[in-house]
Amino acid sequence: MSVPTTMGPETPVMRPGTAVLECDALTRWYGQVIGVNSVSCTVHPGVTGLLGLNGAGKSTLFKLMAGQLKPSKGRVLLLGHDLAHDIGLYRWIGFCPEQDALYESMTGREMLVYLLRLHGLSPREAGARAEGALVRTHLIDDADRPVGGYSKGMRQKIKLAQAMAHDPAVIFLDEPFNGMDPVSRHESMALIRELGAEGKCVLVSSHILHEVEQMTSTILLIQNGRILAEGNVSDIRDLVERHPHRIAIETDDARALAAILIGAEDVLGVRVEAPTRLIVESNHPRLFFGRLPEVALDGGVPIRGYVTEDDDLKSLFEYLVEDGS
Amino acid sequence: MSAPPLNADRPIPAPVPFGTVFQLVFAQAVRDLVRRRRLLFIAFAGLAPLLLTLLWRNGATEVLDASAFFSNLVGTLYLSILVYLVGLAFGVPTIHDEVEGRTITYLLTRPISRVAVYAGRLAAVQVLAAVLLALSLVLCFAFMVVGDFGVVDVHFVKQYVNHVWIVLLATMVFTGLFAIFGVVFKRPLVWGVAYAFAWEGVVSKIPGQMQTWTLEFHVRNVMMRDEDVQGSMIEFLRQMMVENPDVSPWVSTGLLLVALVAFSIIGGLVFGRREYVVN
Repeated sequence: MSVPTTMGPETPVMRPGTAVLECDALTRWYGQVIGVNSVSCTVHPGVTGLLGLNGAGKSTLFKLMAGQLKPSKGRVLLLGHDLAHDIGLYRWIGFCPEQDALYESMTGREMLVYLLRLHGLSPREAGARAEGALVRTHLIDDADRPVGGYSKGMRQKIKLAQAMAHDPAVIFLDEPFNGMDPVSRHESMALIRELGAEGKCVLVSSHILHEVEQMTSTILLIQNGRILAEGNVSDIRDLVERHPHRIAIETDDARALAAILIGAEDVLGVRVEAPTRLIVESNHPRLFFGRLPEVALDGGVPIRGYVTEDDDLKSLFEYLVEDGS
Repeated sequence: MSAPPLNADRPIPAPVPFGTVFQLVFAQAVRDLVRRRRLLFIAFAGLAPLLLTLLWRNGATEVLDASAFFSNLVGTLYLSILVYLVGLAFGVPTIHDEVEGRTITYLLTRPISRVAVYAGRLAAVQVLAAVLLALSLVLCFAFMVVGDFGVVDVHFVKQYVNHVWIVLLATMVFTGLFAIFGVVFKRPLVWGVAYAFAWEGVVSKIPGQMQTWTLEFHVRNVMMRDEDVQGSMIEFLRQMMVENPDVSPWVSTGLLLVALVAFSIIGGLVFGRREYVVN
């Protein structure tokens, strides 16, 4: 992304560092419930992951950013312009919704051409752009089948195709990999990386960290409608590493194993849940897992198996919330 | 906020012209409706008058002449039932289909005027609804006159044209009204049925001034009065309503035309301002 990239005739030229999307104290209430709480962030060209648990506020934030919802407070600027004031700005936006909704009776090509023509493209240009998007999303062989007969993965791809076909500056992809098979997922991730490398601002929401990691190192962490962390994936990884992990170990003698582990530097605490089950809390899980086979052998306590109870986003978010409070 | 972006001075692109959006949405809505089973169901409902016409041809021509039969048919079947059914079936889904199907998001994230979207879809449903009932009326006419052109005189043709016009106008008005229901209510069909058969169906039959508050009163008021039609249900109803308000048919026509335009504008404005939370 070191050179300015020219996109479609309507699309602005964006250079690295350009603030494409700016949210200023963005807040949205649904009656008494807050959906997004005073979010301020700036998004630049390239791929940015919006990471959060289900119900964290990702979709609401996307809808606010894309002008689908009106903020209760704050504002969103797209390339310096307020989206709420000019529908012409939608020429610069591509939106792939989370919901599995398509024009079922249309073929993939018809749907793309129709939506492209609603961007003001001529029939010829819309046809050419649709063709291009179908090729890029690997849907060209099924382009003339009704989308009602598409598989879940193909449906996700056609949603992705309609979001990028008009060559927008900003592309919002709300949980784009839901229901995709591994091959489609791999292809779509490659496409998203390409779009980012072309200089487009691509925002991808997901609740799966490793999924986002495969596309970008820039992420926004959202929980309970607030941005908890903003930055590089490696920083988040560090947080994951630092936050206490609970590991459940099945062993023949839980008390004996607890006695061995309790003094270790990477162990914060142990709890014997049952004679054969031990819960260990570690702040260096990688180190702990590396050491565990050795401990078992040296101590003469057989280990039947172990499960990390909370090595997921939920515990990380809980940890971040607790840490911040 | 950070420093102004490099492109802040770039002119904002213009929205897609209203006419282009109208045309695209209209064509798409027509294609979509034609492919749907709903149209088939309503088409069957539109066949009911044809069955009655056949029955009339095969035994009741002596009891009711062509004019009386046609007035009865329009008054009791088209204006009391079919315009509501067709209006509900076509009008309610005008926007509600996109909302229920959650495809509305695709339209709301394009550089297009919502009013143009509404106008395009409304025009499509109104045209299709009107075409459906017009076909039904044309077939009724054909069934009435085939093999017996004696019923066709100037008076009958005038009456036929008047009735066709009022059925089509009523269809467009009710379709426009129910389209608003589809924008405003979460369960528009329930509200629509309640309105059609509880308000219009009942209040328009109440003697006195109150009936002038219904659209059905004005629809019926525009129907050509036929002093010679004996046994016509319309005439029977008129006679029953001794206190029938004396409103000029021209006033009623004007009101219906105003309602047609007003419903379109109101629906477009409401849709234009409404926020859709699609999950």
